[in-house]
Amino acid sequence: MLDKKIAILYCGSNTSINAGQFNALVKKTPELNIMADVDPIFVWSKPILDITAADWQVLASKIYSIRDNYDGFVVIHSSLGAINTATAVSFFIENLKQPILFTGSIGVSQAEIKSHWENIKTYWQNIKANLINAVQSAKINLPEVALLYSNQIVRANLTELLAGASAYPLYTADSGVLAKIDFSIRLTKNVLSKPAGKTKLVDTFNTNIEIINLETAVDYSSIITPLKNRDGLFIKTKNFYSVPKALENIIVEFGKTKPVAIHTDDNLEKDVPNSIVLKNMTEPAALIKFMWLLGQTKKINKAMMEKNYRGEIIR
Amino acid sequence: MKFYLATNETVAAKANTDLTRITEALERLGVMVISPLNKSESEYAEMVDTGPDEMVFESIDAIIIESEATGANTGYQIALALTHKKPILYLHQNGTIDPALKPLLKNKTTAKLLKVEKYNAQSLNSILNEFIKFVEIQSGQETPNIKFTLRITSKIEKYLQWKTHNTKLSKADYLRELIDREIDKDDKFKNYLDK
Repeated sequence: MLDKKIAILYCGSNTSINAGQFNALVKKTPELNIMADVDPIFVWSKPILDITAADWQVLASKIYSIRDNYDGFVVIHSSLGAINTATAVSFFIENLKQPILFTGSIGVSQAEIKSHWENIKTYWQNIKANLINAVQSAKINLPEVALLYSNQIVRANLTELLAGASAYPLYTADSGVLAKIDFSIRLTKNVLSKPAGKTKLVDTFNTNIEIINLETAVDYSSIITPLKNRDGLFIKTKNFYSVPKALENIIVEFGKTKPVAIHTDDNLEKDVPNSIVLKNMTEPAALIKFMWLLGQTKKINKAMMEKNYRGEIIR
Repeated sequence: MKFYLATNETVAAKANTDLTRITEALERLGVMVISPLNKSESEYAEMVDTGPDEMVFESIDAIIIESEATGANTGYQIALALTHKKPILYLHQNGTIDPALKPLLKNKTTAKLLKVEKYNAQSLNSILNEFIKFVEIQSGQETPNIKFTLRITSKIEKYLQWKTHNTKLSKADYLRELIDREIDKDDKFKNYLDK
């Protein structure tokens, strides 16, 4: 039963857990220790909204540096921020050979988590079933960065957070469902094949962009000045499928020298010159991919944005 | 009551007398057995299909593992069963058990749920029967949760009303107690269970 070596990395938002407590939790969970040779690795403990791109780089670089020591990786992470962190990691690590499974619990209120050891144990109990599923999944042939917060495993960069309250707040296109979990882990045909090339860390990332959410009655002229110092512009159209005239003029001008990406779920009613329209990716994947490419070059073109680097293109 | 009978792919692919014997014994004792054994992949998938926020392990009462049918998923299935507080019966015939189970048997919490038993064709029924009793206690099966519609006459209804009036018992409680007393004194039934 102990034929595989799995690293369990803590990147949780339960800020009362420190490295020592995390080590103790993993080592004193006999259920984990009969499945694999597990090593606890504490990476960070911080509220979701305090996670930065630098934290993503720390995590990817940690996994990269220990990649030859383990058969798979499990990352404990709040479900709310997991899509972004996992998507970033999926871009940062090229030719990934082992599974990286993000897991944790859905529905644990931060307010309920206090510093008492008993409450930490309750938190641990809540995530234990998912953690066990993740450790088992990290042992199999699944060269993907994936999320496991229920009885299915989904590709992170094909997943979005659903608006509103839901027992399972993640949405993944069918092509992103990698495995079903019942009494075993049953892989689907969507799993990427193991890449042949050497694993590389490509974690340069540029966050110096302006992000605009379209809304009515917005004075877009206020972004002209800050835009001068930005390296790119990313627009989320949500359900509007068009760009307001005032913003279109800004895009055309800015887009002459710097990249502009417009994310939409469907075709735009009208083309906007000097921009790249993205409709075959989730919004988080499109945004993170944009910043990742911008980290490598200031000149991003449509072909680069549409290239399927890590299985992020919706089929 | 629903049990999962664990097996590995190699064993599931060919007839296995021990697992068949366990399945038949459990079914005789009124247990529904879920197992990939003798089921096509699609039939099995249909049996265990759940919504994305449901864990299939929550829907079963216990798991049974035969030492010769263990595989890559055994540790995982034991771990999940323990996490969901489901009893586990690990059956072996030759006296040797997987060393990985030893820490679980030493741990106070997990040892309560993990039963390791040596068996043969003669002792199987009584071991399974004891395990079912254990599962009933563990999972609170003593709480009535099986719906049963019973049509009665007005005379019986009148009697039940009179019998339970000014007591803390409901008419259903009274009937359940009556049947429980009958079970307790029915030696033929007890012999049947011990077969």
